[in-house]
Amino acid sequence: MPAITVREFELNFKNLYKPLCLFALRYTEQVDEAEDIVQQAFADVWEKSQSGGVINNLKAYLYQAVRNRSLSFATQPIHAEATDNLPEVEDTSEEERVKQAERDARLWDAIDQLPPERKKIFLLSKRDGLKYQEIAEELHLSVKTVENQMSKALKTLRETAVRIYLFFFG
Amino acid sequence: MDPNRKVNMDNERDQRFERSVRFVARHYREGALDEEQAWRKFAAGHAIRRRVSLRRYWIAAAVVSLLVGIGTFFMLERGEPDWVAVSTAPGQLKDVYLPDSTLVALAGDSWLRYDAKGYNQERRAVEMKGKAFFQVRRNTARPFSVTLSHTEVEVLGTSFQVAERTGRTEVDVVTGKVRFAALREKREMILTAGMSARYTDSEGDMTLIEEPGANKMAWRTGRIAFNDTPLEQVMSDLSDFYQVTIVNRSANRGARLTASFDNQPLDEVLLIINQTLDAHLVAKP
Repeated sequence: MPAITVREFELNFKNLYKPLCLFALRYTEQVDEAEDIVQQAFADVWEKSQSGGVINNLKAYLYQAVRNRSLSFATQPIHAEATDNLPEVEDTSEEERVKQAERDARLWDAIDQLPPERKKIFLLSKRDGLKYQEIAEELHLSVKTVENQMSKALKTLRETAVRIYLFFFG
Repeated sequence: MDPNRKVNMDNERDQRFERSVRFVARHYREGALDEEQAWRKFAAGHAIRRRVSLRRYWIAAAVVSLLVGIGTFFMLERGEPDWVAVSTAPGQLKDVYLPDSTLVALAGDSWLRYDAKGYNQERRAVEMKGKAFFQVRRNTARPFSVTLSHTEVEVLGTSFQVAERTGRTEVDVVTGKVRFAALREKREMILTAGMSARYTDSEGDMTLIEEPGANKMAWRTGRIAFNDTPLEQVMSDLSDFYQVTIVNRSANRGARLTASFDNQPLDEVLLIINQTLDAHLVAKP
């Protein structure tokens, strides 16, 4: 069986990076840590493939590796406190958590692509928990404008939540 | 389906969506989780580029030393295209992520091709046949285009569907703005969110579709919805979605339907419609 080419590895890296980070994020609650873990998992795969190892299901291997590293991180005493109330990691199957991570990745992308003003309003509401009235005051807009922008933002985000049949090409 | 059960399922889904939105928003940071940047970091940390043939590097180095200060444009090797092609069998769905994370969801009996080398340079160009839904990563510096047999669609950052079947090409824009143009003649349209247009290649005709079908995306979302829809349109949408012929055995022709179905088997759907409208719709395989 041929070893993975740089091109294949690169494409897999770019496709899986965000979902894997969001998967790790459920455990780590910190973005930087999640990215580090994912980078390490890919490094692990890369080293294996360079020394002649063969991985049959790259996606499954990566999710497993990320999960293991994330759990190690989350159960360290110093971090256990921060990750104590974990409503996010429910008793769901691995498959369901992977799908969730992929949905989260699409949501992240959608937020990324919101026009700047709308993104600001959206984050003030959903990230910072501000009420529409408070946002309106903070940004010197009318409540109607804030409602409008939020409605558009949520509509865009809802569109990313469509059910997609996933096949990996290559 | 019991209407109460449907409402509960919808609520559950909405709640889950709300929780996901809050989770992602809470951690969202501009510029974080950028796969391009992450890859560059990874490649640098693992000396990956250096594994590429040294000869390419020698040539690139020579060019760079001559053209220092003039962007990366001249560093890129213009060699043979590195074609990546994906195709689907009838009834098969496939998701393809392009190098810039643009998502292309290919419907059945469709085909897509792009040059992996050239793709994310000054332009992002793909060719396709059949039907696909695009969610294009926003990049105002690099226009994205899809070329079909007789038409081309160009966008900046948006989501839209394009379907080319037997002499007709249709574009439906979900979000953003696209330029829909014929290749052989000077006909083009700018379409924005919610607009649809059709091009007939035999007549060279490009028209705006006045009442875009509400169920254009049903093949992908699994959800088919009707809002005061005439029975004939209902039958047509169901035929399309379930890939069977639907006939009306009752005399009731003028009825209108308001209902939505989420991934339900056809016989269940027909049962509900027949009871609701006092019709007799039947599927012929």
